[in-house]
Amino acid sequence: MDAARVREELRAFISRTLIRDPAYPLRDDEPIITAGLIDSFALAELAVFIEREWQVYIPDPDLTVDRMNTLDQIVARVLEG
Amino acid sequence: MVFLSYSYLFLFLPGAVLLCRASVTRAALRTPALLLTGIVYYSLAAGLPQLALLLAMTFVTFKGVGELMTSPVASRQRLGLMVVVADLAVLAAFKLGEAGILGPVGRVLPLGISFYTFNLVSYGLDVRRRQTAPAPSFLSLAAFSTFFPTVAAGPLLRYGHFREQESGARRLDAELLELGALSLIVGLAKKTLVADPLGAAIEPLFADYERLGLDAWLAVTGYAYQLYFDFSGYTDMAIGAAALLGFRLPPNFNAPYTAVHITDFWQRWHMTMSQWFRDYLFLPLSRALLRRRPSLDGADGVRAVCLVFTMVVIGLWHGATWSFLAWGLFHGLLLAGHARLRLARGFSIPVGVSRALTFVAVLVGWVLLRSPSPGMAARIWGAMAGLHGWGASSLHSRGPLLAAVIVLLVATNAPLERYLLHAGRSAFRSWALAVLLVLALLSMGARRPFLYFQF
Repeated sequence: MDAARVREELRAFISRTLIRDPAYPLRDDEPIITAGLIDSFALAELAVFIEREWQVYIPDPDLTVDRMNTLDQIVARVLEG
Repeated sequence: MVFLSYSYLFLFLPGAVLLCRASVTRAALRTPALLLTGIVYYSLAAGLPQLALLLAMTFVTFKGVGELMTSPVASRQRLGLMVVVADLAVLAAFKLGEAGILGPVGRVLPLGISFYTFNLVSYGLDVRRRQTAPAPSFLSLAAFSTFFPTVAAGPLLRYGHFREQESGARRLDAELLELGALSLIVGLAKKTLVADPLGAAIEPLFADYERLGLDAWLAVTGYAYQLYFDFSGYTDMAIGAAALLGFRLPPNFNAPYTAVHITDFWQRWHMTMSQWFRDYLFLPLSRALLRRRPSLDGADGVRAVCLVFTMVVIGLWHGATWSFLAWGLFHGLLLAGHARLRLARGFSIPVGVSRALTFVAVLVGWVLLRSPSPGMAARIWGAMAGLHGWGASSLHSRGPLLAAVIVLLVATNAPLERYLLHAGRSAFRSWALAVLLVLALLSMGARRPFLYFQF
């Protein structure tokens, strides 16, 4: 899995589908849950997107603010498999 | 025996703490000591038949989960589901019985059944998901399900969290002891000095609800604070008792009436319950429905369905009556509406306004919880909307005093609580806590049951 490509695809998905602003300048370390940019349902959308794109299943208990709050954390979780 | 009795505070609790603390260095005695305190507390608070039911449900869950672990992988899903369904079926039967839907069967709701059932269900699901190891013995699971600080009304626990603390080193921790003592005092004071007097003051208003006018706002705001101080008081006492035993419980409240939107409110009110439903219902349901869609774009309808469904189930968890269902539906629609607004570009309102609107929305919802009939709720809403004038309730002479007390509560509740529980040590704070303790103990004679015991 190419980490850079995963990062950019996730950035595009989060900005376009979850934040609903394709031009949103999402930083790698920007908190997206604690800053109120996305909600719990968006985490479910994100998990299903990751399943479809990279066949990586993220269990529900991992969909938390501690583990999925920034793009950096999400990319790391996807690469973990 | 409940938290608000001298026998609990001066006999049972010190005895339980001494017993559990004495077993700290003897690993083999820790679990039996905890279980013994749980059994004694629950049998005194609820009686032996209800204790038998609690232990039977624990046993069925323990055996079911044990079978699950030794069975072929293909049948684990089915077995796990059967354990969960069995626990939930017992809860549903009692909820329906309490609502009179099953005739005379199960009219009395066993103490804490909504809470311990959910603790057992989360245990089954966590083991099935391999998030938690199965309980090493029936005694360990029974010590969890009967854990006396939380058995009657939460906070909801996860077995993995409990087991970690049960089996881990439990030295005498000065910080935990201080947390325990402070939480007990603050919880006791919240219940006896605020919730109960407030409840007594507003009760005549609700009893005479047909005469309410705009003073209905006073009654409903009073009820909102009665509910908060009652439930968070209970939770503080639970956190305090657990801390004295060496356990750190998850927080259940975070100044909920300062929430800036309705989603924020549900992240601050009864937090362990919200997290339970998020983890075991909302997220799995959302993912299941999203997987059926070819595209993830524009899934707002799915979000709304999941939010409304989850909140309706939360409502029914409180009781199988129209009012709880309507309350859940109301909050589900509010959450779905807020999600739509949040996603609408360029929409924002000042924080103070959104905080006030959120508070008003929560108050409108509490009317449903306080009203045994739809007619009463409609009448109170009408009064709040100004359809019945200023009101002619019998409380008018004391109305200004009650209004002043409620305004004071609204303004000071969150910072005062922060100060008492989390501020650094000072002579003033120590004196304040001592005075609160004495006043609270003196007020215990006229206690009312905790409101959340009915759920």
